[in-house]
Amino acid sequence: MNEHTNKYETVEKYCLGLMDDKEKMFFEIDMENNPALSNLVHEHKTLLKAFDHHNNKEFISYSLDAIHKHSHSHTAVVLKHLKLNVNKYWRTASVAATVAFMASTFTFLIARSVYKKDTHAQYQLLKGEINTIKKDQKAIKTEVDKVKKDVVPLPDYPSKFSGTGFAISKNGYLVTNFHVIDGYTKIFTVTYDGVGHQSEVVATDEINDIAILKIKEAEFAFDGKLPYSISIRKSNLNLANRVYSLGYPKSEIVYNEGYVSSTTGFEGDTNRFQLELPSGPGVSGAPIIDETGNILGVISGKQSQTEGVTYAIKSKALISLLKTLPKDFTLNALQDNIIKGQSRSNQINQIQRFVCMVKVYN
Amino acid sequence: MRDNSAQLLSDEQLIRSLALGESSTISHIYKSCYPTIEKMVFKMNGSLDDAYDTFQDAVTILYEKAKADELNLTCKFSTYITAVAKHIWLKKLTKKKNQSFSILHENMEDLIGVDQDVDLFFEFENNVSKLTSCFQQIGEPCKGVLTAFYITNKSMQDIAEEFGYTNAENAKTQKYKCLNRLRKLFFNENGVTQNERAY
Repeated sequence: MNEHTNKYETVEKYCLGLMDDKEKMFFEIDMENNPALSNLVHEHKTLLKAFDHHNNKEFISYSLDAIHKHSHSHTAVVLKHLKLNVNKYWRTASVAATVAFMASTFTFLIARSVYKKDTHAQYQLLKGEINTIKKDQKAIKTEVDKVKKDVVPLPDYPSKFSGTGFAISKNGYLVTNFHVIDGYTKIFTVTYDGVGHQSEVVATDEINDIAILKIKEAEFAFDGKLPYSISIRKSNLNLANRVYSLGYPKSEIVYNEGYVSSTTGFEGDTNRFQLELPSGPGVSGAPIIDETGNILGVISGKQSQTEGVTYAIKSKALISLLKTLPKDFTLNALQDNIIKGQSRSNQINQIQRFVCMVKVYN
Repeated sequence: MRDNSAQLLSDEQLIRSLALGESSTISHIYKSCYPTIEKMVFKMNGSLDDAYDTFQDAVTILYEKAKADELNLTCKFSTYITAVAKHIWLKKLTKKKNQSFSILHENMEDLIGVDQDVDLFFEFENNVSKLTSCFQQIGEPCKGVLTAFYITNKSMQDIAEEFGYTNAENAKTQKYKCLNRLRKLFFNENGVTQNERAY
């Protein structure tokens, strides 16, 4: 069986053009002497091409659909009524065609102005509506009651929204999305141990949808050294880069992985990038981490019609905002990381203690 | 603003960025070429859906050619894509109505190669639908493993984890077994007979 596998592997290698010149030459001689092999190669190529064609078509259709949906519907009704049999009634048909032409020109005029408005509907912010996410409040409350005085317990009514935040310093600075906390002052960060900490907004960048929070308790400190880094120097945002994320779409932390699918965001937004990564309400503000433990960006939204397409803010914008923070914050701690080269599950084990749920209350 | 800058793109640049699948380019092609093609298909007895399908097919052809670095234009990009779309639609009409339509009327330049491109495209389309029906027959885990590798582009390591193989090597063996099954189904349906044990 193994020999069989090897044979196939060689054939695939040849079909994909991965052989060096010498290997290729020998293989081609083999093929000439062995019609069965040459037939296999031919068939394999046909299959590979079919897969490739399928993928290409999906890609084009997916890309076009996003644009087409918003330009299409206006004329559909008009044109259906005008649809005539061209062969039989060429005279009427040519009139119809002229009207159709006018109608379609019209569509594109309308489409252009409507387009901008519509796109907002497509872009879903991933702030979790709290009706869908109910944390076990009691467990947290008893925990909180045990702790020190300046600790404000979580309100005993449901929060309005929740998102994800991640620590950027040991003393309680966190990053989340601006849209998670926008308009709220009663903000709580629930750390990995399930304890809620009252937090305040210390810096925001509304355009890039970033907010920096600080846990208010004077003695608060995260347990251990920050495991990840945020370094632009190391952040080579390349297509197909494998990435993963930790966030709170529900009351427990959830791990997701995917890859960078575009280095620009929605409609070519250069401050963001696009990921093929599952996401759901509540993961707004979650970090996007590459295989070396470096944070590449912050999740901010997803495309609503397509499952799996997620958008994130590039860490460049984040770093600019971090530079405006008070002196008890230092970027140095984020220059390098301790998890580079460790296994994924080891990385996750350490990172999850620094990823929190952010809840806002009325 | 954006439209202006898009118009400044030369066809050469357009092809290069189409090959990379850049969304801004695809959007530009839609905006600059779709209205003409929609109008054309509609004039030629097609519905709006027909027009959009035909346009998608035409963009796919150009994308595949651009990717393979085989798109050498002798005319404007927009002229070329319109000619491709026209051929596609006429082929579809021919199939639908079981009668042939002349391509050579009107003042459309008769572009060399378009015909072959379109024929090849329909051959690929045909193969994809055959592939889909074979996929229905091979069953799990083959369907899942092959999809993960050839369509979702997952690594052998990830596939091993997802499908519970002890390591990437075992997953690879499974992948080739599945591929072999798929191949037999695919080509036997086609009426081609061969001896798989010949080597």
